Amino acid sequence: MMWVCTGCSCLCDDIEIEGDVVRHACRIGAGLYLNRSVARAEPLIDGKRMDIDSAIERAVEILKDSKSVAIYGLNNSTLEAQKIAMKLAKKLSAYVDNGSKFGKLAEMILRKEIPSTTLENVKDYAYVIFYWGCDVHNSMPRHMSRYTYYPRGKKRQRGYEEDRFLVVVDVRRSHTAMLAKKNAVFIKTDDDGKLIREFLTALNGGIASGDVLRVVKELKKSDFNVVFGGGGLIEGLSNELEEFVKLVSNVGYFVPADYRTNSMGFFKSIFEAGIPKANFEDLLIDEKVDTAIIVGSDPLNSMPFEVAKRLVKLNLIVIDPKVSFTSKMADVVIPSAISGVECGGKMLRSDFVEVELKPIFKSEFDDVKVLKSISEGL
Amino acid sequence: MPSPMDIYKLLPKTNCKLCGEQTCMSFAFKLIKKEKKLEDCKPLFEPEFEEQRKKIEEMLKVVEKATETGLVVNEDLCIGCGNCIVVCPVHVYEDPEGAGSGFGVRLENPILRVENGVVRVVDVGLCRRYKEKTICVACRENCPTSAIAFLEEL
Amino acid sequence: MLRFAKYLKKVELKLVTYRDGFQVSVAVKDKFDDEFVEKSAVVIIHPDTAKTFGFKDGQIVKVSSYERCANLRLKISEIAPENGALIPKSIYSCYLYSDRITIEPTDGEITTPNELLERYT
Ligand code: SF4
Repeated sequence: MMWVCTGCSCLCDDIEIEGDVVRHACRIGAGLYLNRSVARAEPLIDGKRMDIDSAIERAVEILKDSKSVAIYGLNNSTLEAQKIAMKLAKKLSAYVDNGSKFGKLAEMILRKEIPSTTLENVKDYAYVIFYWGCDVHNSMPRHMSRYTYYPRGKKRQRGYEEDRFLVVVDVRRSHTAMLAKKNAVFIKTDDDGKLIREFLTALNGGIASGDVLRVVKELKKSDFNVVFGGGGLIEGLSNELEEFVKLVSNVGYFVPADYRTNSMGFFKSIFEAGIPKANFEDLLIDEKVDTAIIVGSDPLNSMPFEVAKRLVKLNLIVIDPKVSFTSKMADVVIPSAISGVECGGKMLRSDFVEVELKPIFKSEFDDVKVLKSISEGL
Repeated sequence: MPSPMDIYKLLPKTNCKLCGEQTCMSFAFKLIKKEKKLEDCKPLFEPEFEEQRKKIEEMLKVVEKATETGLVVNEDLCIGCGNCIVVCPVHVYEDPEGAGSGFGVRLENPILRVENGVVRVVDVGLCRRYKEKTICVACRENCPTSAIAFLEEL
Repeated sequence: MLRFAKYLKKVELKLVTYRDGFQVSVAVKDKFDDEFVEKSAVVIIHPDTAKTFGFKDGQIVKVSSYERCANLRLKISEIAPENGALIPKSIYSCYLYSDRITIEPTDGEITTPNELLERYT
């Protein structure tokens, strides 16, 4: 059976499943599938086992009594579920956030303010490939072999050693950086802004370090070059966004390397719904919300202690297929399905290409049904 | 992958030469290269060395798994990225639309295939090291977590 | 100065966190499993740092930031920045989150996620 992996935003669609053998998926994806029945969430109210309808009812009650709600997560939910979440958000006048820092750039891509492209095009045409502030070998393990540096494409028939030039930029020698060997450079920097300016200077014929000049020389060999930017870059880009956009338009294209499975779907969903992206961490620090609905996310495993400590004090409604640190602290836990494994729908890949999921199993409850029931209950 | 030193430390270290080697150290080297068998070290099978022997046997399991081409895969270190699958020149030649284009390898019996999230050796018979006796290291070179090794380089 | 450093018991380093694929693959399985602790309760330092301060691969260290601390397993690898410490993103890195952390040897046991969770309430 063919399967689309929802382990990360690569959404690899070439996975074969035969009983309990998963072929071609990486460790993360295979693990997601093979361990689907481990550590499943159960419907809980204040830690006590309930049936799912009572849990949903309790969630509705809490929401009715709340002054200010935030919906957080949704990266592992389908576009369909995200759409319902947006309706729910409007009904509740709730804030929405997925915890990704890519919001601004994603919006620019949707508005066509920064040139972007698809991974298929990268495979077929890209020459210089930047990985800037992202260790994709770990976060999206098949990114390079499936879509970018290693495969042969239409105009790139001679393989990575001749037909591609790899540039890895990071604060440390990551596993991805170790792959920068022949026809490649690894640029180590603690200061992205400075490096961006150095590239801009060099592109205008100015003075720069040897590595930068070498990359600029390679850039001129092709009109199809691409920058994959990761969290490491985006987080530090507060003041240099403009310069970065300028650099990208000089280089060629920008594609986000946000590993969160349907993060780009989230950005498109809020964009289409006309809801601005909130910053959940700021809301918590400023004590702006009293209730949070957490969908398929475990902020206790991703938010700084000082912020997470405030989260724990809220009324917490967790919708998740699995037991998580946050679900342990929740007032209400509503189990759901693992998107792509037990329920279908669509998601956006990291390059905004829509992918139809191919669930292997069926589940009675999924994000769509749970969110709908809550919405109807209100 | 165990080093000859790791193994040497567990040997009787008496240089008794019963195995046919001049020193325990050189015996350790040959063990890893599969030129000697553990049974050749008679003293190691005395009860007093039992614990150490078991440890060596444990270490040698990796060596045992080494294929005729010297390719050793340590699944615990593999993240299943598939770099090795896609860069393998034989895969590219035999399966240009599949592995050569970045997809999961479509050959019935490829050299390597990612299964349950880690790379497995399926059929080493196609490997250039085996067929053409060339020293190709494409798969090893593109594995940043050292899940792939070649015996001669250890 | 470096000669002195050898006898320093406490090192202050810049904290860098990263998404570790092996850690993620166990986190999607079960966060309350021993494997999660094995892959998450880890602090990685560069071989040069380890040499300078006399740390050994695999030893348990007490990692502190402000008044918070947790015991993690120390690993030595070139993937760590020369001037910093690398921790896989998880509840451990979140709990210790700050710009700088200190590392010192300890005889204690590795902190479990449940012990950390208690400190959130
Ligand atoms: S790279 Fe991502 S989508 Fe592809 S198999 Fe791995 S986890 Fe799944």
